[in-house]
Amino acid sequence: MVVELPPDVRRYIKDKFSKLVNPVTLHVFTTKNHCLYCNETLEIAKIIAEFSHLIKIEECECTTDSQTAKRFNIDKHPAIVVHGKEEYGIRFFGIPSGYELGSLVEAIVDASRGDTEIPPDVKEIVKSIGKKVHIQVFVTPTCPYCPIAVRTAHKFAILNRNILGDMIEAIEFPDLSQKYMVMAVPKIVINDKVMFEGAVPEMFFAQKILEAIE
Amino acid sequence: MFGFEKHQLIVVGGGPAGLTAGMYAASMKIDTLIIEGTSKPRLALAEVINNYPGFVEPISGVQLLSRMREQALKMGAKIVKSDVISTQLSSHPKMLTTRENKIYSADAVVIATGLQQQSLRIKNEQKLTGRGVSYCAVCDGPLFAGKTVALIGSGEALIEEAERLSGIVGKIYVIQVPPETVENKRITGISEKIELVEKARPIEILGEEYVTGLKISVSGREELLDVSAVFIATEKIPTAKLLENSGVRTDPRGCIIVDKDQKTSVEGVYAAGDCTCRGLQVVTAAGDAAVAAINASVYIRRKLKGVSR
Ligand SMILES: Cc1cc2nc3c(=O)[nH]c(=O)nc-3n(C[C@H](O)[C@H](O)[C@H](O)COP(=O)(O)OP(=O)(O)OC[C@H]3O[C@@H](n4cnc5c(N)ncnc54)[C@H](O)[C@@H]3O)c2cc1C
Repeated sequence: MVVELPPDVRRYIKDKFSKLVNPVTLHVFTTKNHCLYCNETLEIAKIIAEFSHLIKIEECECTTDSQTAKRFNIDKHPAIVVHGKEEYGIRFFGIPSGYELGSLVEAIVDASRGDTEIPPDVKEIVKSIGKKVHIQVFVTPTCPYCPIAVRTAHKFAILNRNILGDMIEAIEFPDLSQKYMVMAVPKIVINDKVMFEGAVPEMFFAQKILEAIE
Repeated sequence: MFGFEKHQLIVVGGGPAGLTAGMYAASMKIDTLIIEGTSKPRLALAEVINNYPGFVEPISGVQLLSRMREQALKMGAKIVKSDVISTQLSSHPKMLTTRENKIYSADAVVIATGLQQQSLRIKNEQKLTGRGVSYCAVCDGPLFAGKTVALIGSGEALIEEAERLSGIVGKIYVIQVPPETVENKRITGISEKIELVEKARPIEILGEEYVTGLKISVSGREELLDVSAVFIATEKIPTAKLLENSGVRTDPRGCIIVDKDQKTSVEGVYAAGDCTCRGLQVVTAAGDAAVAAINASVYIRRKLKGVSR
């Protein structure tokens, strides 16, 4: 698979990246062993990084028990972790292609700004969360609603460092999809405890987090 | 999430309510897009309308509709033909996705989708939604790669979903439900993976935690299909489904709840016409739509100036 971006997508990315403020690092984790889309994921990250001098790539071709992978809590490949103004828990497992490319671009902008657009009442709730939260959003690249859920998870990760927001491409991780019975996307799993499907409003999503940590 | 098309106001529906809302907003210099659905507005089914003020001689529904459409365009509204399949309305900007996966964003939305056919109401359809029952083949199809699935539906939606699924799954049983407008050979011509079950009616989706099969009746005889998923593709997207999780409140019948200003429970979202189950007449649909459009326009102007309500 060769990754090529159509002109309107290139324009969209350029426009988005005009808002970058602080440097952003994409930590890309690949491995030589049985990794379906490792090469393509790295390629996408590189193409994206070409759009702005503020975006840097740190590649780790390493197994999950390497030190770096452990530091970032990487338990599967390929993965991209987006760090910007701070070291956020914004992660992509599997290839961020199709509709998810937009999620990656927007996560980069938010990470660079260190802020995100979200209704004030939701912001307040998310910021007040004092416990560790792990959000997994299962997607397929052809799903038009999935980025809405992925964006919400990543927005929450920007607002609160206790929150890890993972996009997981369901097809690349069949064991995980099986474990969580992913039969519709987006499927959201919070702390292995609360699960729901659909691109829901941010307030609904925040309430589900509260339910998971109570 | 790219290839957004931005407008100040998006009106969903191309019946008298949608066209009137579009016309009013456009005449108030609001950048307005009407997304008219692919299904016929109910007005198009009315042979004669003899109670619409000003038309002393009865006018046919189709004629009245085409005049309203012309007037909306003349005032500057833009119109595209497509079905909105999902919405995100509580955040700003509001986002709507159409069947072609195109995403539109707007500051305000008027919903004018008319009366809607409900889900297929097959036994267990609701219970197993998200557990193998799906209304979105592009989204969930890949999760059933290589498997045997059933596809139930009608019209162009059925053809589109059959095309999408045939590239992904192993085998598809296709069941056409009324109105059976698609020729059988158009369905079977799509792929060898398709087995069209003729004269069949779905009775029950089987499964406790997830779909394990589909019970159908073929010319009165019951049969079991061994499938891992049931995809549903009818022409109309029920408003309740469209608004699911968007925060817009509907009553138990699925009618959108509005106040006297045609405001729904979500800021910046208005509704008018049959989808509110009020009036159920052309004149009330048009009247309520005008109120909705005026209030939506005021809302947009205020938002532009940074004034909250
Ligand atoms: C046979 C018949 C006779 C009638 N006679 C009269 C009469 O004499 N006088 C009278 O006043 N009224 C009459 N009515 C009622 C009148 O037609 C309706 O009240 C009126 O059409 C309601 O307008 P509306 O715009 O709310 O809905 P509709 O006219 O039903 O239009 C709904 C629109 O929404 C679109 N839509 C739906 N879902 C979506 C989606 N997901 N995305 C995008 N678009 C979507 C549809 O394609 C359609 O364009 C009659 C109705 C019928 C069926």
